[in-house]
Amino acid sequence: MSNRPHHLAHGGATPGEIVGRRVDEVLDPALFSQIQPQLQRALAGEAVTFEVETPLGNETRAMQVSYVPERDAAGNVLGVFAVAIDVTPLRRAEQQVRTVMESSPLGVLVIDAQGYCRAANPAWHGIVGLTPEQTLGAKMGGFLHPEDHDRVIDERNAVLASGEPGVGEHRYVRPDGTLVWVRRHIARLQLEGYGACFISTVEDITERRQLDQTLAARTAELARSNEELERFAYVASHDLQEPLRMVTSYGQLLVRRHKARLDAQAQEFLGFMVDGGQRAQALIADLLSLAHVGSQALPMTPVALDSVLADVLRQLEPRIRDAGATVTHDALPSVAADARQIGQLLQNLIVNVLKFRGKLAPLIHVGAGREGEAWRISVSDNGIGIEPRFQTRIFEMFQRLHLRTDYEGTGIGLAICKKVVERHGGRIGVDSEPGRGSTFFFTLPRYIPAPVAKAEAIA
Amino acid sequence: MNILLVEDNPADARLVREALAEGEMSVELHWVSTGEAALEFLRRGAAFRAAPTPDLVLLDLNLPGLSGQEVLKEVKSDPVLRSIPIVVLTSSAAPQDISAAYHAHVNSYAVKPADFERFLAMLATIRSYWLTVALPPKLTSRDMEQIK
Repeated sequence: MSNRPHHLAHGGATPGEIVGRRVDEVLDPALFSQIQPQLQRALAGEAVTFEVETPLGNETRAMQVSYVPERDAAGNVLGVFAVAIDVTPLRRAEQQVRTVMESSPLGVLVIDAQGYCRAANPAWHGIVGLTPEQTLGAKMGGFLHPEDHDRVIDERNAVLASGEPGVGEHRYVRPDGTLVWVRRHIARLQLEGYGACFISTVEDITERRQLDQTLAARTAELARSNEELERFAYVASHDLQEPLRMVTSYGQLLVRRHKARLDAQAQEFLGFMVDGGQRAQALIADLLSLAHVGSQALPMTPVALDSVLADVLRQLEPRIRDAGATVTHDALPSVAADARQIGQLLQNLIVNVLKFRGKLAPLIHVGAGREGEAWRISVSDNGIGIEPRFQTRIFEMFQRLHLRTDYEGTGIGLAICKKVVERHGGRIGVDSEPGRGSTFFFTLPRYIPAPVAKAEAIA
Repeated sequence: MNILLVEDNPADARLVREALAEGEMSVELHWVSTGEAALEFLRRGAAFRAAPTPDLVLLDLNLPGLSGQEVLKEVKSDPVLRSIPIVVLTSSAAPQDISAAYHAHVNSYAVKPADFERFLAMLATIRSYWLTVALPPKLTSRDMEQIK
């Protein structure tokens, strides 16, 4: 065997040290035993490329070695031209990538253009419930749910054609028959030796899909329940009002037509009957108003409170005049609100002042101030005031603090105010002392112009 | 004055009769309880050969069979009958009912009030308006022939 070693700088030795000597003398025996078969092949006339690991100083380097036979004019092999490239950084980088892939909690899968699995990480094997032996080199379509198969193949081909990555969701069928829903990001890749390939990152979303389904079911149930309540409210208004109207109307008619025949007691009894009917009608009408706060809600838009107040005062002008009341106000801000409901709110509060007034001519002041990120609107008066122990009760439905004979009303006004304010995400309350008037206050969100915030209805 | 009342609830119909009876002007109240009967009356059909042309129709929307809205549409699309004033007198204050009625050219829309006192006042106003303020359409005898 003729050896003309041309190894260059192998293992840190200088050319002077190795030229002219035998290969098996120069190289480390362990290394020589690795290269020897390759050298034999090269000397036989075959060009070879291979990798070895070799100690260099106190490190181990990965070397990619190429042997090319040198021939004379007649074609006989004279020797071997050898080149060695230090590919250690490359191999280190590869090892890091492999570590990342192995340790990733997401499934990572590499498949070739024909759909065969070339590599897959433990996480992916966990998702599909298969071992590497079962998957390496296997056709991937076989693990897909039959209903999703064609779609997934189409999506994959689209990525191949366009080069653009794709996202999709599909099911795998595990060997035990169970299904797993996954979300798959797939990108095209050029892989050494395989050409165009796909790298898929796969996330198990089975649980999330179940939650989505539960959420959808609950939302549908809620919508159905709301619809039922709406119908109930409509029945209450329509069908209940009519018989009540008969009771009230005929009670009154009876008194009108037969006054002469009815003694004082009979008229008194009829009076109670008619009164009962009328109160029932008022209660039903008010219940409907309360229900409408939720069901007939408009979306939130920027609302100038100044103009809402102006409208309310115009509506109430006769009553304000009759009560000899004076209304003053600060400059009021713009808020994100349902204009009609805020109008209702202000109207209820002002009407209450006109109703529950003392001996003095009513003085009403509507003020505005900041409370953190929100606006705090107040309606202050010089009326009869409210005892502290009743100050939460008054916001409940149909709670009244006085005899019907002293002050009229069903007691729904403040309950409506509370529901409106809460629908807007604010809170309502009162500062008051008997004999010293009251200040009702409520908070409303500031109007933040787009594009920062979107006006959204708060159910 | 001839008023045609189209109302399916006898108690409600009676209230109208009682309320109109209290007025000074004499009113002849004709009552039918279905939409079909109302059209028969207006067209002087089988049971209503001698029926007069009403000066005003009080129409409830909530009728069995042919609804008040349908009666309204039929009358207002009939070239002769459409000139007869129709006031819807019903319990619904729903915006969609109101706009549908005006869309079909109802002359006005009123909601039955909660008690008799207010009912009385409302009918007095209606009667007063249609009898004294509003001028009636003039139906010629030729028109009356065409109704057949």
